[in-house]
Amino acid sequence: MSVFLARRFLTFLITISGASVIIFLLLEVLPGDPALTMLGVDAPDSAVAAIRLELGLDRPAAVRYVAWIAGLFQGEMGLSYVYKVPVTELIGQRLQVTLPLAIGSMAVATLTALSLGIFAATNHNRIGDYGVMGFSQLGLAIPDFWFGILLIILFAVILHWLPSGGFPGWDEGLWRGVKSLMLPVFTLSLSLTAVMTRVTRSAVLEVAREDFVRTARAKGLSRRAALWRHVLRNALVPVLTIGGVLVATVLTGTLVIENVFALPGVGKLIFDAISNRDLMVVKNVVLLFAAIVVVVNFMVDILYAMVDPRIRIQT
Amino acid sequence: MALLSVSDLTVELQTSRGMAPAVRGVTFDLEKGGTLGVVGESGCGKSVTALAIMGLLPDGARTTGRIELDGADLLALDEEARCRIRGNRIAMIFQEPMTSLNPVHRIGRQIAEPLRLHRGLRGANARDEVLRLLERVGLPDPARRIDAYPHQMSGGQRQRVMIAMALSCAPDILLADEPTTALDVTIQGQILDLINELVDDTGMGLILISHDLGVIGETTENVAVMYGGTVVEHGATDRLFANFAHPYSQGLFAAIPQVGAARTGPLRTIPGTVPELADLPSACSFADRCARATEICWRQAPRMERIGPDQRTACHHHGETAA
Repeated sequence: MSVFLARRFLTFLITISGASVIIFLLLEVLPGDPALTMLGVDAPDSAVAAIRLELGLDRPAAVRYVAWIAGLFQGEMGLSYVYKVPVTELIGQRLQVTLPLAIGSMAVATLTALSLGIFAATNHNRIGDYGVMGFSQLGLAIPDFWFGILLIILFAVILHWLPSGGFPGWDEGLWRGVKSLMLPVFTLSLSLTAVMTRVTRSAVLEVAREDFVRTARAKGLSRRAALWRHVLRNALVPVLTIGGVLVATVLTGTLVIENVFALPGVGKLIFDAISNRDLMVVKNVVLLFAAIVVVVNFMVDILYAMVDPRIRIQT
Repeated sequence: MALLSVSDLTVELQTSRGMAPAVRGVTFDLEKGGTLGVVGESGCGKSVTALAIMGLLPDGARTTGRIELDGADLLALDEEARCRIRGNRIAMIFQEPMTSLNPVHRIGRQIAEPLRLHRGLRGANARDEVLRLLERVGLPDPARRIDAYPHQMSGGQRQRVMIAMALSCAPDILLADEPTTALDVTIQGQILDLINELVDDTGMGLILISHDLGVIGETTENVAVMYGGTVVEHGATDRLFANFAHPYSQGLFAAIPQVGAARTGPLRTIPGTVPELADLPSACSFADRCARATEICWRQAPRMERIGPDQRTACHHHGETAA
């Protein structure tokens, strides 16, 4: 197990190093000079040069890359060009919105998708199945920003149940915070639910046809008992796989959703940072997203081995 | 009264071309402690007959006729009542030991499941009973293997686990559907010996399904030969093997390669292939492959007739010698 963990940590470092190089190079070739963006295109050359010196942009790219990575190892992400505060601090504040949003969306999507997928599979080719599949088709087809706007119109404008956007901060009370995240969570979970429902349904249908399910029934288990004790755990593996993949979708989804609902989260942070050429923020947030995706998929690998004993953790 | 009495059993299955008859008017009895072999080619309806007895036919299947256990018609029972019989009074083992066990549960837990369900055994009591069963089916080192996963065992060992599971509630009837087909020849013999031994010891009835007339001949007292969803010949094993009357049974018998016999020509086969369910001829289902078929075989289905003590067959031409 420790060998396994060490190997996976090494893989993690290699993946993240690769990602950091790609992110850095992409931002190098991205048009738009941060100094010019800050000062405006009419700024005198001397002022631009001064800013470039202040931001360290006068140094060669390789030096800046090494400085960035060395900083990361000391827990430093540098100063935001725009806000003039440490990027770690910015991300830390914004994660208070984005983490609950992302985790909440995954949780809502997983619970709904498992229930709907199992329901559809047990009602295979009956009206309930068609209903769920129709819903899932809609969920895939509807753009999430538009669905978010529909929810705002219904729950905020017409019913006045929930705020239309913004986030008061957790200091204003847990319930107020939760309320302002409800619509964003539902919006973001829509397409995730649609995808996971389909995967759950087909996985359950496939496992239900296996010989060992017939064995379970031959022992005297009812259909329902055979489903819970023998089908579901076997059907979890493809659902886990797609869940791991969807974490990336959730993170990119926060960009759109936080803008629709005016939430001060990491997605909004990176959106604004790209507009302002606040490259120090952009590269760190993107790298953080990459790290989250890699770590989540590592956890998925461990879950595989817990669900299915045939999948041995490779040492 | 027979322990199990199947009469005029008909099963229609849903296919892409509509409902197709898989079993047509099958009738047989199994006495307490009796053994019956059901033999026939793939698709002759023998597995469907077994699944109908278990009540585990695929969705959309239509069953008519009677399946009586101790005089009570199983087809009239609701699903809950049938669950109480499955794995308890009638147990079944399947052809594919590789896929018939759940890969994510330890075998001890899988064997304990019917014990908990039908006999209320839990915890250490259930575990002790599982150990006893594993020992009984000859699994080496049961104390260690009880916590193994199916993928850690060989095919023969897994079939022993399946047998232990089937035996767990001391059933009155064991349905064994091609229990040795997927196994190596040496293991086949061991598993058949084990089944025979258990049948002798426990006094349970056995219905052994096989495509292999040789396996049936060595194992069961009675034989039913099935073709095209019907029983075409039925009787005591020694009588039938002395003198098969139906041309299909004769063909099956002739197709058994004789070890040690001089090979004078190619292996004997029955010409033609098993018809698709939906294409079964309406009169004698074997007519299109039968050398003796005459006009009546195409016009009228032959009835089961008694042709001697402990032997019945369904053939218009059973009295004639083989062509």
